[in-house]
Amino acid sequence: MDGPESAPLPALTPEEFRRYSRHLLLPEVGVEGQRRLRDGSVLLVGAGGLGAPAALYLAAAGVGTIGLVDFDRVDLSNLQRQVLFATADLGAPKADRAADRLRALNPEVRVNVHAEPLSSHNALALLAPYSVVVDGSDNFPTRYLVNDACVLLGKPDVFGSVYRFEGQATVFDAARGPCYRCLFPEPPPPDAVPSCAEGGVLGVLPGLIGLVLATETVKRLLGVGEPLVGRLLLYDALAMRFRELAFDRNPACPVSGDRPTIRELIDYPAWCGVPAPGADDDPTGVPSIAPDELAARLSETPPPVLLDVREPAEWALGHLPGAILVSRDAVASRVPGLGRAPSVVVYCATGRRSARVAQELRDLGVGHVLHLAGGVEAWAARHPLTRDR
Amino acid sequence: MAKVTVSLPLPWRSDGGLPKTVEVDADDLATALERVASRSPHVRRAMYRVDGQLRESIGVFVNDRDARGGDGLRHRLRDGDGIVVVAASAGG
Repeated sequence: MDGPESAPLPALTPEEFRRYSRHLLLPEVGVEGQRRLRDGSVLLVGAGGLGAPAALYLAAAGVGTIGLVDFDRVDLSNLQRQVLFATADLGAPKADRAADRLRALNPEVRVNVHAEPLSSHNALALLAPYSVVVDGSDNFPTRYLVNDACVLLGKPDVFGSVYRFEGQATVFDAARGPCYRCLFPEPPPPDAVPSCAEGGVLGVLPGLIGLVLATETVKRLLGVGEPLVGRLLLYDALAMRFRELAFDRNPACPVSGDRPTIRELIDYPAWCGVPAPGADDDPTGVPSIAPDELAARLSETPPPVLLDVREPAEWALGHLPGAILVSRDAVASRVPGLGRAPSVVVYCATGRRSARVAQELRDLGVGHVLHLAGGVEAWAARHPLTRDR
Repeated sequence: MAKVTVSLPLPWRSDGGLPKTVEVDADDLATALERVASRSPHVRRAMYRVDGQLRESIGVFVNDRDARGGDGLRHRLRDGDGIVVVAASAGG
């Protein structure tokens, strides 16, 4: 672990004295602290809204080794908040571009690119060399995977999450306090909590929460201040208000409790009831239809009935031509009219919600239901959307 | 009965049509949460499992302290107590 008890570290170079002069003026940092930062290694899980600002400030601060786990590519919709990337990066692997940006900011930082999904198979090996893990991922299976791996390895898990206008941040550290499972022993039901891609997020919000994560990481590496352990920080951007909630270690926690039953990593997507990150399949097994195939079917007479099960705000941004907006609660009421349709295609933003709704329709006896693979995001990559005037 | 406030997580407010903070009369935590759930089927689904147990994907805090230890849902409430319900969120 990095901290005051670390062995003597190499001296700072003259250039490092200039680069970090504002740090060196701080008694809580000083030369020794700056050497600790340089000796520190941080793994960022996710180079997205939270990971981007955190990575920039950690590199600027002089953290010696930064690992980036992200297998995604830069999309235009990322640029509203993921400040590591530029318009010229569109379509490029995020981890590669992020590494380029961090090296440009601070050539002394060693950046390790892990352009692969984090899974039970690789998590322990990926996390092991790093002293701090920053979880800026975007799904529950990865959240629980990172937590359990950190508990098993004895590493701090610096946690942040964002949704619309509100954010959460805390540090899970089983050696000093509670872990993620102590706070949330089980994940919410699949689809109960919309993702940022579905529910939206204010672009500046992950910037603020990401810097809370960077701050906690720097404090940890320096061994200064009061860590955000056992304290859940809530941030409400609309009210511009922070709230701090205290929570305790759960002695019955299955991974960090007194008698742990989870002693190795499990199948987290299965446990959360969702597809594995990066997987194309959905857990319902409802047949899907690809955007190109749907486009061809829409030109037939009669075309399939298209049900859009997103929120009205998502619909307003653009929808498939000829679609009907139906709230999820009202889908069942549509069943009597669907029997005459040649086929029914349900879609949402990404294909997660539509798979569930298609399954519900099948359970209600509508057998000719498909859902659009990849949702509107996949459709819009190849075909135009319609907007209501 | 004690008059208490219950602050709700954003997804419950936006999808369940409830305000940020709800005022209820209740003697204990379980009653306070049930009174909130009775205002919205969406919130009820988000708060309770089908077997009626409180979901463990939410945190419940009374006066900014985790209420799941100690007396748990039997926690006695007093006038002016503030309850905060936090829903797990994974967006990054």
